[in-house]
Amino acid sequence: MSRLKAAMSDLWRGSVLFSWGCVATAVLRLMRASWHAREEPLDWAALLRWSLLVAPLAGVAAIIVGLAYPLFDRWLNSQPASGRDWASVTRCLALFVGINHANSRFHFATDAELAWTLALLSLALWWTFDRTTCGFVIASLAAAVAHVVAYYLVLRLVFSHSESSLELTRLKAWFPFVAFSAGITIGSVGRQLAAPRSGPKLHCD
Amino acid sequence: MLPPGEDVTGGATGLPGRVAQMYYTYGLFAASHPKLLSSAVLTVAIICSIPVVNMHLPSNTPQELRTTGPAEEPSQPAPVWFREKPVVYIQQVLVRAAVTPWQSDMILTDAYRAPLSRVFALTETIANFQHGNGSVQDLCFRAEEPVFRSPALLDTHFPRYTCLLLSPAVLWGSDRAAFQQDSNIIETVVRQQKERFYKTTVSNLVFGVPAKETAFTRIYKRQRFLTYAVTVVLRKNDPELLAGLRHRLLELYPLHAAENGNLSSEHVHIFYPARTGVYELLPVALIYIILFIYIYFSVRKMESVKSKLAMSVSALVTVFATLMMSSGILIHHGLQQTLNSREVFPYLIVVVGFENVMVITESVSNTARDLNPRIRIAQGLSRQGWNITKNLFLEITILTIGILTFIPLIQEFCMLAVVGMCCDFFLQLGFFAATLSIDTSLQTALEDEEPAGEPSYADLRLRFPIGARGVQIQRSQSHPGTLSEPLGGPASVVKSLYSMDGLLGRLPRRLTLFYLWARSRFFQRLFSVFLVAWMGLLAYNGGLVHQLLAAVAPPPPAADQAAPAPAAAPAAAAGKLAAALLTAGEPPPPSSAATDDDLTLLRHRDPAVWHRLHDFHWMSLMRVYNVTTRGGYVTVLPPVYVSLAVSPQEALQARHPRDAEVSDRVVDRIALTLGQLEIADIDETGQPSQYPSPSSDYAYVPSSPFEVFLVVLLALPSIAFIIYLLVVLYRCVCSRNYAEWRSSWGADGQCAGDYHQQQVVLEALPLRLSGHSQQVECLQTDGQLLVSCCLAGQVRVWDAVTGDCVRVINRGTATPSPRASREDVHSDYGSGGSPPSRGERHLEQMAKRLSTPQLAQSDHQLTPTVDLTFSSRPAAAPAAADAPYDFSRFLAAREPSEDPGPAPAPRRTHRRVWSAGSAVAGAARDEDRAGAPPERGAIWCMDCSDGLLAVGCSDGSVEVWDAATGALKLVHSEVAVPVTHVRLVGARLVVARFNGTVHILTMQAVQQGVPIDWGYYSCSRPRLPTGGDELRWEAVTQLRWAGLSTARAHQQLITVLECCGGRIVTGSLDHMLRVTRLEDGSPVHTLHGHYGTVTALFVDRCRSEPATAGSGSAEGTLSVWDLTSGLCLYSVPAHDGAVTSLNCNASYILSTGGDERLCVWERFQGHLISKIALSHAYCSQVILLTSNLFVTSRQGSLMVWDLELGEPVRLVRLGDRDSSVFVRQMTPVGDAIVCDYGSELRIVRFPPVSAHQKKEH
Repeated sequence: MSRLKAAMSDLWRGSVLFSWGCVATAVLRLMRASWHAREEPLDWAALLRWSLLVAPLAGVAAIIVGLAYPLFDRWLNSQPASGRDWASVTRCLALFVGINHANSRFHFATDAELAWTLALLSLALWWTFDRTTCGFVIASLAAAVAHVVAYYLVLRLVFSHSESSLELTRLKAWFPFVAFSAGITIGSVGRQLAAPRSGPKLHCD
Repeated sequence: MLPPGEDVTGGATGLPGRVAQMYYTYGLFAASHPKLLSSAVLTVAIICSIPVVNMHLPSNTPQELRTTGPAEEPSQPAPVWFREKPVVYIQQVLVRAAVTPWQSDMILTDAYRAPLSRVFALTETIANFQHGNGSVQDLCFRAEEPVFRSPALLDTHFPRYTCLLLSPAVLWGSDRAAFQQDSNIIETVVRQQKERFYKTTVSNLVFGVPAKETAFTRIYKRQRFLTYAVTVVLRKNDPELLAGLRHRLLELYPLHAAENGNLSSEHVHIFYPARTGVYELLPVALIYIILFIYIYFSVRKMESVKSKLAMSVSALVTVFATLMMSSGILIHHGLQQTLNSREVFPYLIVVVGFENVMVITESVSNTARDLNPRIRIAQGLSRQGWNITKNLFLEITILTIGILTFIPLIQEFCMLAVVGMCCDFFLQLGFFAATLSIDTSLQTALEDEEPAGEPSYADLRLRFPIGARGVQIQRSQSHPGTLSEPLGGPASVVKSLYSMDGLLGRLPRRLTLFYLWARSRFFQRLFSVFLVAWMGLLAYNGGLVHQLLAAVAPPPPAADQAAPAPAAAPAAAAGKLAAALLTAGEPPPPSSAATDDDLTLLRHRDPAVWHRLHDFHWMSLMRVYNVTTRGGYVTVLPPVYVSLAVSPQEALQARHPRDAEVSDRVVDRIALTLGQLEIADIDETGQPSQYPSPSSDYAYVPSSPFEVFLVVLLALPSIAFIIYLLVVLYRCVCSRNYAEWRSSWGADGQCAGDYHQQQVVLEALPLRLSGHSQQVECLQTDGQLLVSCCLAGQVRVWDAVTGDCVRVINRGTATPSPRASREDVHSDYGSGGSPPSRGERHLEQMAKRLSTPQLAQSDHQLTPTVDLTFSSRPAAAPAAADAPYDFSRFLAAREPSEDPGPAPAPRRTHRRVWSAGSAVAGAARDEDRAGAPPERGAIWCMDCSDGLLAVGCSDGSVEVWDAATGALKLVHSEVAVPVTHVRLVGARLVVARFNGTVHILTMQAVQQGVPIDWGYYSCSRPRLPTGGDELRWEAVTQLRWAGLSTARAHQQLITVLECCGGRIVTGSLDHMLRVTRLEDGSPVHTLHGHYGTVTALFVDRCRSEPATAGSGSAEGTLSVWDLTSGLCLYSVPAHDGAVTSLNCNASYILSTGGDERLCVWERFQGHLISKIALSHAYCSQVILLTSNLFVTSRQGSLMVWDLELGEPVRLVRLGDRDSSVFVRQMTPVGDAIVCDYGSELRIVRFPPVSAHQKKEH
């Protein structure tokens, strides 16, 4: 019975994480596009195509990362730095969006500057909301894998016609760090989902 | 190790403690005037946010794009709007002109008229310029009729049906004659500065530069450097024609032509958005949605307040007022330039966050609910004050570093954030704390209405789970230690829940490795390395290094002319000046050094001076002719720069006959009527451009004194924080603290999620000090040494740390009293087993009073006293009611007078036994004085300080001993009245006598007849006696009496005496308290208010200047006094019987009384916080171990209590025998408590109390 319950809980968490990942990816892509909407009009068809392909991938990644975090927490007996509640998770999410925002709006002289700034920002995100080693490691792994996948995708499939080759070189500068912060964010969501339902009150005991 | 009296809630001593104290004071203030304060703060916030009204609607902010050429691709990806053609092109000819050299006999208008008059020629040149087959007339925008008539000038003077060419000449209708006939050109110009049109002023339209640059905002008689522009609006861009125009103008005006030609080649395209695109709103909407979710979750956490809705609204108001206020301030100072604020705001909210608001709320709601709301607010604030301040300073430091990166976008965000944080801090403390206090007082009022709802302590603990922001105490059963082996080490130690080794013992290997990694702080180091590298990269890329290098390296001698090398400039300029003047066909002026400087100043300082106009300047300009630029863009072509030097002769020629009058009075009139001129004599030494190379955005570099001031203001907290950080780091690294710090690492890493302070009260093992043959009567300590005196008159000096007996002082013969055997019998009852009855001291004092000569006359008072005495004895100790003992006590009291020997021991029993035989004892007194040797009276009181021991005797003599060596240093025996209290205060000895007199004796250290500075000497003298030092001290130092002042403080016996901070506070049988000055014994205050004998007294020792004192009286009243004013702060009926003892710390007062209760009072208002029944605790003394632990004594044991919960925490058994011995005296020594135990002493150390306060996360 309890096993069934646990499985249901896992299923529920997985589905929530999946939808989180899909929606967040699509919305962020849309945001990126609309930030650049001044330069070129939105191409809704391309966006939709892109979302249909990439969002499920991101959703799967979100499931993996979001389930891995609480698991490793339990295994390594670690605890995130900030208080465990939805407010802090939302805050983390907002700052993640902020990192994306900074990425697409701030124009840096060189790619190196952009990369360093984003690295610092994502590290700061990790430091503020997570501060656990396992969080860092999982997010880094996820970022590495995601980067390889994204690079392949950009090279072969979706972006080849919609984005310029300049974008491809830029991708190297920003994608790992954004993926890292995405890992941290999804991790905090996953942790919060795995936390006991009664929230902070129960936590005091 | 923390001192025992330390306030845990107030944090450590030092800076955090002081900060917490400040917050406490502020909290009291805020809670006293919440409505006033919150409305005042809101008003300030609203005033500060007024400039927000002028903020552009976010989507309408003009966007800029810069290209180096007209058709070239921009560096950034081109926006959509750039694909169209611009609406118009703007070509400016910027003129910087001045009369040079300035002659001292010139008048005010000379500085303006001639330079301005050149504009007519320039305008004509431009308007009629032809090049090849094109002309400016063909190319220019043909103005139609101005559609606006509101500033009259638009209608009358602006060009119509011609080229749209604006210059200051427009003010005079482009008519040189009108200009020459204008008797007051300054007024003409200044009037137009007031005429607003749309987003700009008419003056700005015609001058084409900000008003500040025109030199017409400050009028004074001296050389002025005018800047104005001729603005040509073009339909088409013909680079050839414009290049020709530029060439021609530079030919005509050759001064600084080389520099002027190279100043700027940038095309600036300014786009005025027409409407907000849906796509653009999408990201913003998303951010705001996230923001609102965040706010929702944050506010939902706010549970423990009375009115959730009101407090949530208040929190929201705080945050949004913060935003409004900070953006208002920034707009007021013109700092908001490029960042689209609507995009930054949500992040700012998230960064600033609700955390502080939440933390304050939580902290306040976790204070004891019975407290006054004022105190609750103050306590809540002071608990979190240090954290809040620390975080604020940390964030400001980080953001200041961000500002120092000189990257415009980051700078702007940082500035916004810094101002936002300061505003947030201001509003939190001003507005939120005030509303919170309203809420708290509402809550209290509501709870007061429900009388049944008085929470028991169990309730309190349920509601505030153990350790919720408070102190968690882990209890364990006490194990009676093996007292025969006092040095056997700690008997049992209760391990902390998170004890490192306890946890590690059963850890799997992976976790061990993991913790090792975590402990080595790998990521912190990595993070800081990253940070440093990032800064370095930014600084390097930002050109800072190059600039620095350029500044350090000497300027190359053959610098090319375009480079602004000031050293090379004057020589070149002089040559050019000659050329310029020759071209103008005028005789060369006398060249001087001043001229060269002037010519340097004629350079254009800021290449993009028009850029400081209003964002909508060009839009306003086109609006005059009803041409809309919305949805389109305007291209500002690189301006042509012209420098003009006007010779004084020309200035004199251009003079108007009535100009002389202008210079005298008209300026004042203008200033009066228009009220905006700044008439000041500020030197305008124009530095070469402060602005770095014309990049896309200017980094913010403070230029004006005000900006520098602001930056310094901003930098101060950062510097302070960094200094503090360095100090803390030093302390950590300092070898003394390193181990402690190091050991805290483990705990820190594991309890990262644990918010609670923990305080572990561990097992305490008493140390046994035996040696006295009889009951210990007096116990004093100076921190290092412990002095005790027994009934036998023997004084023993102990080391307070080790418990070794350092010295035995035998005053007179050391032979035991012949009555010793009887005394032993007696002491079984009197000292060994008798519980000192409550109120005993009172009775004892009554007895003393009767025995004083001047009061013994009324015999009828005797009877009730004796009756009372006898009736109270059996109540306290039933076994003692039989007659023989009473009789023996009479004998005991009498015997010393019959005994000629010097043994003082029996006499000492007066003090205890008087209650029974006071009349006889009083009678015996006279005989005593006559018969006994005067220098060896019984010891009645002692005091110990700095290794000196003062002893007050029954025969009125006062002896001063060196406690370490046992040498008698001084004797004062001039007054024969018995001594009831002595106190050593520095070099002074306060002696209270039996008759209510206070003598203040001053001692002086003498070294071979020469007085030594006592204070110096007592400080430098080694505290712990070691062989050599002791001898030296012995050999060279003598003490002598240096002064005596007498204060007749009371008419009757002094019952209590305290010395603190230069004041002596005494309480007496006469129901009064006296405050006496220590220096001269002069009275300061007499405190009336008690209706009974003053039985207990405390003076607040928290500050150097005694601020408050409290006293308790025999009728049970507790009064608290303000010692500076002598006023009674409050007086409460505390106990049913007499108040037997008082003690206080920073926030509470503890009192014990004859009703066997211990009461805890809130200190500032006198509210009863808790009442603890002390059954069979026959000791009136209470010692505060920490701010919330106190110790009482009971039969054979000490009891440690938690003050806030009112529950016993631990019982410390003093002996393993039956607990029949009563502890009579306790005194704190460091972190230990010394108490008597029959004829022995016990030192009970409480080390666990002072250690291991878990660092709050």
